[in-house]
Amino acid sequence: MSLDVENLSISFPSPTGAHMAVRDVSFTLHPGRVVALVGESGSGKSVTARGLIGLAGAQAHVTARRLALNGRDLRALSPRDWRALRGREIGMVLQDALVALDPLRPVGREIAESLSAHRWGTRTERRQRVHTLLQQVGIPDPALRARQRPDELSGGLRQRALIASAIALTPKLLIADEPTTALDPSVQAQILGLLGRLRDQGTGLLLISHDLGFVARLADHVIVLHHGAVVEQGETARILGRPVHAYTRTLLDADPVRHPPRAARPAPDGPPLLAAHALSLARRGPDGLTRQILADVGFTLHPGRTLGLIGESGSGKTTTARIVTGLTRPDSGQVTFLDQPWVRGGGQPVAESARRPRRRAMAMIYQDPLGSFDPRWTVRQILADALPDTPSTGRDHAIASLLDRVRLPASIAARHPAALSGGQRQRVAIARAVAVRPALIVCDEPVSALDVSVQAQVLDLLEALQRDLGMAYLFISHDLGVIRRMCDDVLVMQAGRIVEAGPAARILTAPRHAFTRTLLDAAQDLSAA
Amino acid sequence: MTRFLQRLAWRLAWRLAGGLLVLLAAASLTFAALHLAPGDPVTAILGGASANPTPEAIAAARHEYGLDRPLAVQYGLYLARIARGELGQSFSLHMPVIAVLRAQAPPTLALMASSLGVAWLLALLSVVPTARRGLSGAIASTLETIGAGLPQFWLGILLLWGLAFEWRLLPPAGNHGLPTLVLPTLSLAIPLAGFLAQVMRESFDLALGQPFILTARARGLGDGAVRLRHALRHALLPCIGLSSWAVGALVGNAVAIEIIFSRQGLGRALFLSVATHDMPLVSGIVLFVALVYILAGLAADTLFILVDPRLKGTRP
Repeated sequence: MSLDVENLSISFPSPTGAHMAVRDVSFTLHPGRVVALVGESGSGKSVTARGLIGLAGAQAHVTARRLALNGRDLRALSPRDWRALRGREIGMVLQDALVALDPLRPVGREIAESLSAHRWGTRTERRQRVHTLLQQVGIPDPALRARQRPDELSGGLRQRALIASAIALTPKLLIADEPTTALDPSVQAQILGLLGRLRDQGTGLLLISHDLGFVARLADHVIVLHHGAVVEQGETARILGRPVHAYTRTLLDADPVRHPPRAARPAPDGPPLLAAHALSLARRGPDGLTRQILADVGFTLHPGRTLGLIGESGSGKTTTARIVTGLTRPDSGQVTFLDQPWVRGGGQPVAESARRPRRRAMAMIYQDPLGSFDPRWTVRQILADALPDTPSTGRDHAIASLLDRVRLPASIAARHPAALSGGQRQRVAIARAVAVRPALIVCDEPVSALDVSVQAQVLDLLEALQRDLGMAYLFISHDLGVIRRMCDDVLVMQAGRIVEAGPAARILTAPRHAFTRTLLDAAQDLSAA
Repeated sequence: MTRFLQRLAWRLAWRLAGGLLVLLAAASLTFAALHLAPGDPVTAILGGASANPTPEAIAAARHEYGLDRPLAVQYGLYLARIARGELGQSFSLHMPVIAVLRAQAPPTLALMASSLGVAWLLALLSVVPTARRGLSGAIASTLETIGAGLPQFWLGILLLWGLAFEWRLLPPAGNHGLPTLVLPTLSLAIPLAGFLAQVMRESFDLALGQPFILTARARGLGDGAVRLRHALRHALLPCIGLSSWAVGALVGNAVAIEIIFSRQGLGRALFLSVATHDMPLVSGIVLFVALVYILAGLAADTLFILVDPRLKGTRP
């Protein structure tokens, strides 16, 4: 059983003629082996995967010199034959089970559908099989979990359930398209382990990822795609160890883990820029139970320094950021900013009017800047809005120098956010943030949605701006590589509490708390180094 | 499961309380209309300016309705009467309002139910097989837009002329049996189906682009099963909300349709009662329509939870 692909090309019609999404991809996938497709967004990885199971779309034009499963030509398959093959001989796992499984149905029914679509067994046998499968992917208490919907399961459990639905009929080949993207590092490590077990049991894996560390742990053979073309392919150790092509090197160097950690700087004396003290917040969930979202969170941030906030999703990182920015009021505790009260919980809130004069000293950058721009505004309007005090005569000049500061050409000012790439958009967001010369920028996962090479450029930019303008950053990220590179001090959060705090160099090399060690171990498992 | 039922019961209780509030508002409005309208409320109660009641009758009615007492007391008495189900006497029909409702509501409710049902059927048939399917999708979508734009009364007249008078396929008027229901139903259902289908097509299209659809196809599921088992359920939610709005709109449109097809019904009764200034009957019908609208909202609320269980809000 093997999948032979030779010169696979996929194109889509476009107003300017056929657009080649993928050009001449060739590889052979054997049982028990792992082939990885690596590249940035738009490189054609996912299109390739979909083309292999005949799901590239009605518009797609798929050609190949050879596309054969176990000697059987797939190019001439009828829709009925494709359906018989999908799920039974080739399974597929997508990223983010919250949307890759039908959110309205219990996961058990989704898995059973993989069986019933191929008329496997009776209803009772299928239910049995679902439970066995859930156990097989490491989900305890399968009878209960089968009845729950994806939104009722944790990120790790639902991603396993998604994998269970793909391997229900034990297909010999499994395509995993970004199977761990958007998951916490510890969950990523679990999924990595599960995929490794499947490979050891003889499943051939086609792994699609932008994460070289993840790929290095699993793949035997790596194919690097750039703009739909293969720039390099070969044994994993060779590609990652001795890359020949410049683009592969760019990808490898962009991995934040390869960047030297931030140089330790002595703890500053003098008053802190921002001080949070004993922040607590409880909220009633939709089920009527009250949950402690933050408990006794306190920290200080000095001018010109970067404080990293790490922890798994739901640990309270973003809530902390929302309190610091004055968007959410805590039940108790207070925040002092620029030596005056900024946020106070309890009976005596700080009025927004008292904050307003200092608002310009604090700016924000989000994970997805697109949502924080008015889509009808041009970049010029977005930036002009952040420069209300600049006289209109000097405004164009001010905008051009802002764009220059974030290394964007001045010509971009006339464009709309939707017409920009993700990296350009984040730069515009940064330009808007620094336009008011803030003393503090709150960065909530600022590079998580960006490709690694773009990520590296944006991180470079943030470092340079801090050097030039002396801002402090409150930096939220789930990526320890990014934290290591950017932060002077680190707070580790778990379930709304700070479990460990201190200089980044100490915490990331000699953690004291067990949870921090778990986070570091998971990150270690995933790193290519 | 019991906690789910408990929560559902709470939700229903809340909606019921809200519904009562709406009824109270409707009752207050009709009360206000009765008293703010020009002229003596007694003449309105007794049949308008042309009725020419005797002074004794006026005095008797004034006393019966408590009109010789302060306004606040009158309001209280009015609400108390409604709470007891006493909606008064329709002078234009010379019978109690309750009896009018009992006679006129069933044909209108039947017309509304059949219109809503047919509209759903048409919308489903138009959307499910054609969404995201090139030419057929474009044609169906155009037909839906045209359908949504057709005025009900114009469509009714057209159907009446074509199917009843020219081809004599269906009876043009009356209340007897299913054949007489067909043309009024179509007149109301086709424009509503257009609206429903437009909303359904948009959400169906959106659902078909979701990753879980790709997952389902990658399992080997056929296109039909993907549409019916996965996409359709996601497309239903906005349509349910629209349907509860449509119940209210159908009553309004039933006025014209019942007159065109000479049908018995609330719409026609409402028209006649307004024309004859029969205030007790107008109030009674308005209250009844408000009640139907509230019940439709309750039903939609329950259906929402059945279609999208996430709305129960039982997260871990």
